Amino acid sequence: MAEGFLLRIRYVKRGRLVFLSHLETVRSMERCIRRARLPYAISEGFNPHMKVAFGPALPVGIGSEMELLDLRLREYLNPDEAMRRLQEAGTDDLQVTDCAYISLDASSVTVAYPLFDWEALLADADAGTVRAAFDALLERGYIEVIRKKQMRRVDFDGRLVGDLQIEQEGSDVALRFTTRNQASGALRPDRFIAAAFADCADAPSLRSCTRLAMREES
Amino acid sequence: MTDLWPRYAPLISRVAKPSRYLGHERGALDPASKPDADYHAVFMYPDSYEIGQTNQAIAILCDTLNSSEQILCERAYLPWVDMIELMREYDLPLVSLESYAPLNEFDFIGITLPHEMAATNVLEALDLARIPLHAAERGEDDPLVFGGGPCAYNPEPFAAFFDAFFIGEGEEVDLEAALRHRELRDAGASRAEILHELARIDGVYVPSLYEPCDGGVASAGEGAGRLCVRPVSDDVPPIVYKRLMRDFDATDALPTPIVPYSELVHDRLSIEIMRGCARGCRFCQAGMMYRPVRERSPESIVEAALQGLACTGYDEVSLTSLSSTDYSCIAEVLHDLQAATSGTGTGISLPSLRVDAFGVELAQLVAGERKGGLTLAPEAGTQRLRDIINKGVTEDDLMAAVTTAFEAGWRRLKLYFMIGLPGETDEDVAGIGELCRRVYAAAKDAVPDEQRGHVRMSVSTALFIPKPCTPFQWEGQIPQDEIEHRIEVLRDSMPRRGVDLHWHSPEVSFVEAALARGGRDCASLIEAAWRHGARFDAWTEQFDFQAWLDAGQEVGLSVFDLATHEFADDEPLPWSHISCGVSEQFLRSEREKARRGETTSDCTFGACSGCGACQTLAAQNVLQGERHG
Repeated sequence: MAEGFLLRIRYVKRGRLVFLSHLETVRSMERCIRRARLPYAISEGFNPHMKVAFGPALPVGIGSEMELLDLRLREYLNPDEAMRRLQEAGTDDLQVTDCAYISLDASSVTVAYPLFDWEALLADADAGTVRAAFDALLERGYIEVIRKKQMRRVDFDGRLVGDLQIEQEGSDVALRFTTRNQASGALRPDRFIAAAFADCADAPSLRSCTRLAMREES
Repeated sequence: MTDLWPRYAPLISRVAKPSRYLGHERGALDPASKPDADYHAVFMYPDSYEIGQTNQAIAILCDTLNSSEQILCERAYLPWVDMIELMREYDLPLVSLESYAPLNEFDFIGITLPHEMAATNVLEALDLARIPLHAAERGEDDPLVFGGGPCAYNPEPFAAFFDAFFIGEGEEVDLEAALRHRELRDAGASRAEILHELARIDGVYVPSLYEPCDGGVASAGEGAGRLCVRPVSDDVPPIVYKRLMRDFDATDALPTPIVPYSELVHDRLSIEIMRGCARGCRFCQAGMMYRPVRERSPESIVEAALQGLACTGYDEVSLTSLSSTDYSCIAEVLHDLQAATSGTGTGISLPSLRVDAFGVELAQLVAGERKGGLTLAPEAGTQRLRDIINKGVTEDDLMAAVTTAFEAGWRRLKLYFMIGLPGETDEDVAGIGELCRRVYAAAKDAVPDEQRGHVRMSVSTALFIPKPCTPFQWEGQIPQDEIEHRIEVLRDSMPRRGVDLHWHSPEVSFVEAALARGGRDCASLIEAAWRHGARFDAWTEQFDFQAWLDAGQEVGLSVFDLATHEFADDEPLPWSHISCGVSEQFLRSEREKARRGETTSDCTFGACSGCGACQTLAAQNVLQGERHG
């Protein structure tokens, strides 16, 4: 039977640290938790390790305003105090923004929030051109990706939720959309955007791409 | 200083492991924190970040230089080949990690020479940094390029590329040189004047102030050999002695720890518990170079380890030294650390184990349930050869270690051996296989019947490479056909089942041996190899032996000839003007004893062996208690 307390920790990934891989992010957050001296639980067995579960991985190069991890604690610690310690032990670009206890039998952090809201900024772009590129891609209805040396089709149906918002913001174009995480494979925002401009001679460069939020199914 | 991050940033997503290039790690220096610093130094490790960031010397030396308000000291690493390609395509120079400033804007560039196979990476780095490769071609505005580390004990093959070398432990000399350079720079001294002044600091070798003399000058000291180079002026020392931290325990056990984002090759907190090893293995360069033995106090080790774990968040601490299980208070330190970290999932590791039951008992103390693999290094297959190399390990020691380990729960064992050792015969090589058979049987006997199938053993065999400052420095490496023959003998001798055998590439060993014992003329070989495309030679998949062969042909130097050359007794050695304190007389006498199969005992367990290090360096062994053994 599960024991202890489960602390759901929200954090951001910004600046240069958007280039950390998922494993590097995991290692950095675990080290932050140790530096913060939280009373984390340890697994038993051959190789004892911190009992922690991380949310869905971000592709390298993509930032996030909402990342999640669930940490098992041996003893109760006031969540505000946990956050204070974590913030002190963290770095500006990988920083905890919220801590709250959840039930020990709550849905796993990997499946609790299947909807991801994304925002991408395309540098020196024109909203009309961007709209035309995405209209053509949406009309096609899928992108092709190479996985394990095999070309694979990722359909938008079920993975792309609602409409794309495309807005001119100064010389940049902001693109906002929502994807649904599926066991059969997610639609990566960077690949989605790259596919829209695959046949374009002077494709706009991606200034940034950020996961704004993870949400439950509405 | 120019900040080139904005130009690098668009390239970061196009290379493998971008985290290598991010900097900004927790613990890294913020250049803005030293607004008054007007002297810019950078330590460059000539390999990728994940190799170099584990280097303790760079951590210590950055801290030392940054202890001065006037100096801002940063780190730099050689980018991986994909980034190098982009840097050349986008015309970007090599930069430091903290301020992303081009290396050629610095006053001081310190490049550590960790091993010979980093030689071409030094040239790659200088070229990327847009600094003339040859010290002689550098102008008044170019940085001073300093070398240091293990390969500085024979600096001659690298001499053309460096303005000066720091010999020995750098904590004091690097800072003295940097401050003196700053002072002379501000006084308007020329580059030549500055180098001449720096050559007067103990432990600084300025190659341009020495000229070849073909063995015409005898080096100082009884029984000493002849010199290959001599100073061009009277105020420059004919022999440069290494610098040494006599009071090692007074140094900071915890240099500012930087917590990397990338996974490093040794991704854990390291606490240096001791310097030097007096076991006296005759093939071992480190064992001769870092004498005498100086142990840190157990209290400061435990305090530094706990403080380091708390401020980094690492889940493992390694107690490093050349022979950590020889440290007199090792059991006490391990007990204290174990007690203090209990329940936190923190591991404690020892980098090397002595080959006896005591060594395994210590490993057991820290392993707990984590019994992965155990590594032991008997080095040679027969007692005769172990005596020749003065390994000081008997078969009884090895069997006791193996039995203790497998009874305690270990199921995987790795054994290290060398082949090509001086005095080695086919029987000695075949002896490795026979020894492995007995060890494997002992391991199986020590485990319950139902677990015998779990016993795994692997054997890793390196080629002996004669190194400067050792009793075997005169020996040549065995020729290629002989290497192939001995590998054949080794393979035939190994048990058919249960033991995996691995051996190192002879080609890499030839290059390493050639560069370890070469003279000034080797610079042309290194440069030609680099121009033929050699770089990252220590990486198996990057090593290009053909580039070295082509280079040799071009400059008229053969790596085979250099590697296999046996120096005659009266032949000058290219490194005779550099002294680690151990006398040439002692090395000669050890070589003679090796030929007679006689051993020499470790002076930290018994009487002085007369190596000369303590007398020459006005130092002594510093032990914290009585050693076990």
